Amino acid sequence: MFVTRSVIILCLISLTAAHVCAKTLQITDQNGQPLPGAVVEVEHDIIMAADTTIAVMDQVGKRFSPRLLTINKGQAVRFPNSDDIRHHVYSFSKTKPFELKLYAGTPKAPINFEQSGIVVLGCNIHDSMVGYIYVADSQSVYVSNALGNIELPDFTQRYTVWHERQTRDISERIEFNWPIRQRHQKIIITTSVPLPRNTFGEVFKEHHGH
Amino acid sequence: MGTSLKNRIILLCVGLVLLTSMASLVSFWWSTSHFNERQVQQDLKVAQNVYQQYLKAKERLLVTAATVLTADFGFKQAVATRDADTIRSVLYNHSQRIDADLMLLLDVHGKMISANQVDIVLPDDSRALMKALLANGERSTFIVISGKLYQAIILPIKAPRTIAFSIVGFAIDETVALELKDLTSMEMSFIGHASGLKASSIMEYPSEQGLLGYIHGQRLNRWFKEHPVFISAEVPLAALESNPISVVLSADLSRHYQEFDQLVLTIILLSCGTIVLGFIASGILANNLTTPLQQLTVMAKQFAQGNYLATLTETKPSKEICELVDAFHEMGEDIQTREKQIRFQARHDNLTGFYNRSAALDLLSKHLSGSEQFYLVAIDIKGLRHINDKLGPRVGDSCIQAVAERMKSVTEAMKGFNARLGGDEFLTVLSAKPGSTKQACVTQLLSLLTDCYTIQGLDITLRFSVGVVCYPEQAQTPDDLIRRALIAVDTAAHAGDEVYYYQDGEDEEHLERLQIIDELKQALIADDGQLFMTYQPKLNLNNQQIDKVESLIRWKRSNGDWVSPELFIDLAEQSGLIVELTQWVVSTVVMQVSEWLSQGLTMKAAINVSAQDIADDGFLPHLKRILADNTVPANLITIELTERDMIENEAKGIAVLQALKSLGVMISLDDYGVGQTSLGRLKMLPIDELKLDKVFILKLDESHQDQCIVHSTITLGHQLGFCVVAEGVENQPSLDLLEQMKCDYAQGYHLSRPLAAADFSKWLGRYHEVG
Repeated sequence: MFVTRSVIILCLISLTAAHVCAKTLQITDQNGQPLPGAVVEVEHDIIMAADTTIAVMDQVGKRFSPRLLTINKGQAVRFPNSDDIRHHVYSFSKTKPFELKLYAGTPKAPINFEQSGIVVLGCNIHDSMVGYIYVADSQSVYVSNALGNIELPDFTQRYTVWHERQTRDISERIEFNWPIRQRHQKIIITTSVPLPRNTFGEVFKEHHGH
Repeated sequence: MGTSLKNRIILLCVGLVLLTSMASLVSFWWSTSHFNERQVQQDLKVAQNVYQQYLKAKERLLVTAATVLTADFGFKQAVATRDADTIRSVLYNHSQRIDADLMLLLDVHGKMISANQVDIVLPDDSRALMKALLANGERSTFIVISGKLYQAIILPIKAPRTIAFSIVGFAIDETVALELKDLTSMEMSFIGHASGLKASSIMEYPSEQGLLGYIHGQRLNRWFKEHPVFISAEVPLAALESNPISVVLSADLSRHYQEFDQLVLTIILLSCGTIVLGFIASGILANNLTTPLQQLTVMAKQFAQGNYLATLTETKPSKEICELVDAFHEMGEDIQTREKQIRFQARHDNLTGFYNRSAALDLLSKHLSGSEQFYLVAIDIKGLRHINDKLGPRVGDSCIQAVAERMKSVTEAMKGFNARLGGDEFLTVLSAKPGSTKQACVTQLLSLLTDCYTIQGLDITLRFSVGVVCYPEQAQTPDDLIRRALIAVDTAAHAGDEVYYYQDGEDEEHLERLQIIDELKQALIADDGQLFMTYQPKLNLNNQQIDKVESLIRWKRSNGDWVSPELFIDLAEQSGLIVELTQWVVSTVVMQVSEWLSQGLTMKAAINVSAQDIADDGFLPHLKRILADNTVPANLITIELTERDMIENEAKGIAVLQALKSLGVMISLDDYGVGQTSLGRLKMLPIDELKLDKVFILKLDESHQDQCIVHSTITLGHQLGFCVVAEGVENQPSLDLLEQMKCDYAQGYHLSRPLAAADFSKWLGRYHEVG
């Protein structure tokens, strides 16, 4: 057990050490705009011990916080409710369908995500609330910064990219191969502009106001 | 008949009613058709609003229902799990819940996941359909799916991201159209132009014409014109570009037409009724008005025939007609009164109330019809002119009236009648009493009439001339009777007798005299030689020369009869023809003298002139002119006047004689010695010559008295400065005596009879040869 832990620590150190000679990936949308919040997962053969830390997907101000949570396969997530109203968090994603019926505070048990994939979170009573949990296979998971840039480890060869606004199916992770002897790579992810969300309120306002 | 009052009134009334009806009908037609048109347009507008509200309501329902559906967690869950059976049952369940006819579930790529109906087939481009629906947002869109029209809406199913789309819709079919029709009372037709789909409230229409064709083409034949049955408004609905849908609102006008026609028919019927009523009413009115008028016409005609008692048979005449009839009656009475008066005046004399001449003729002819014997007495008041002149015409009239009274009293007893012929002439009829003579009758009458009259306080004795004719012995006709009575009374007056009984034959003589006057007039006008002058020579005893003639007129009628100068001159004087006759004589004689003068013979000529000639204003100018025209010296002409002529109208006569004398004409006093010329008057007369009447000369040689008278008269004449002429010298001894007595001129058969101008010239030649 200790060994395992120390390996992980070593690996982390080595990964950190490899930082110097890392590869940089720049992600833009089809319009050339930097695409922040894109999740890049790098495939590698290193078997690592499962992360047993419990991730947190909080609900603050009728929003999921964070909006995008990346976890590893098998990791558990807590869904505390920091609002003074109740929420009904659910997921119909195949990766992990679940439902936390109306609750306040923190549910009794965190939810364990055994499968990798995308989990879209919603709240049944607050339609505008959308959250994503990216359940990664590998532990090399990165999220693009505000400039759409990600530094990837040197060994990166095959990687997948996912973005919540991608025009591809939401559950699809787009696969890429890093070209040989390239340090910098630029990829384009086709996105769609999110539609404004209609609510009952809007509907009724529209009709009554007519 | 065409212009009778009745027809005019009826025509006027009916015309007015007709005009009013036509005007109201036209104005009604105009305003109603306009109102109807506006109404229809208004209805269409209202219907549009209604259907829009209806569709909107449906749309809201749709949106609400669909939103609720898509927000349902279980539904979302079912969709998310793609549990086909569950989804299908959910769709079915929800469609039942919101009564939606169409409920589809599509994945985000537009592929149909599930539907509430089994046989729904989406079009190939379902993605485009989805996009179009999405583009409409919350608004419903009309789409055609599987040959059916739906009002549909698309909503995403979010969990929380859009995981699918749900299309929810209501079928728009005949039921909806009918429902809308109930709401709007318009025919509603939803038409998909691309697919030719129709959902209409109009169920029955000929399939070969098509619904639109039917709506636009349907015509109604009415008022000789085709009218469209429908007025339509086509409104496009929110639909796919590829399959536009519109709704056609059609107002069915046939009901409007029907109502309108009904109304028009009612008005026409009412108008006809009013016209008939107007016809009848005006007919009655006109009858009421014209019947009395016709009766009044009949009345007036009867009045014209003298029947003034005619009256109106109308039972209830109007006030005005009553007044008119009263006026008619008054008029009739007045006319009757006046007629009586006029008739009376036509037949009567105003002053005496006796019949006038024409009435007398009438009455006489009535009397003549009987076989009764009677006397017709003409009475003339003698000297009435003097009474009028001296006592005034009122007294004269009173005298006439008094005489009439007396006559009336007499004739009343004798069953006769009286008439006044004019002036002072009366006529009375006396029945011949058996056993009494006409003389007795007349005497009785006269004795009454001649009694003294007291008139206006004056005692007046009147004298009468009376002429009597007996009927039937002396005359048979009224005209003859009256004329003969008047001849008799004239004879009485001229003779100075009181009574003269008409003698048979006097009338014929009278008529002949009238005829002679007429012929004389013709002869004067024609101047064809019937009348001619003869000249009797006068011997100037002082120088034994024939230097003067007396011109004497002669008349030989065209039938060869001689008319005695005494007779026709007398008649000429009576008829006033003497003036013209004398003018003719003057002209003829002066021309003769002028002719003699031109032959170198200076012969004086004497012309006989009557008092009437002297009194005529034209005499002197005529003589002057004739003398001047023929350039005959005035002293060659002598005017001979008898004593009687000279004293008539003495003052004027003397003035004319003076004028003649100053002209140079000689004046001779004819027939001196037998008249009434006093020596005193002789002294005053402006004469140049005395002509002794032939009674003293004819037997002068035998009568000592004649010789004394002639001698002394000659002496008297000479001493008064007159020349003296003796006429009627028949033998030499008388001529010798006259010569001894210093008579200036001798004239007579011893010398020569009066001779025509040509004979006179021959005689004169012989006389001078002998002498």
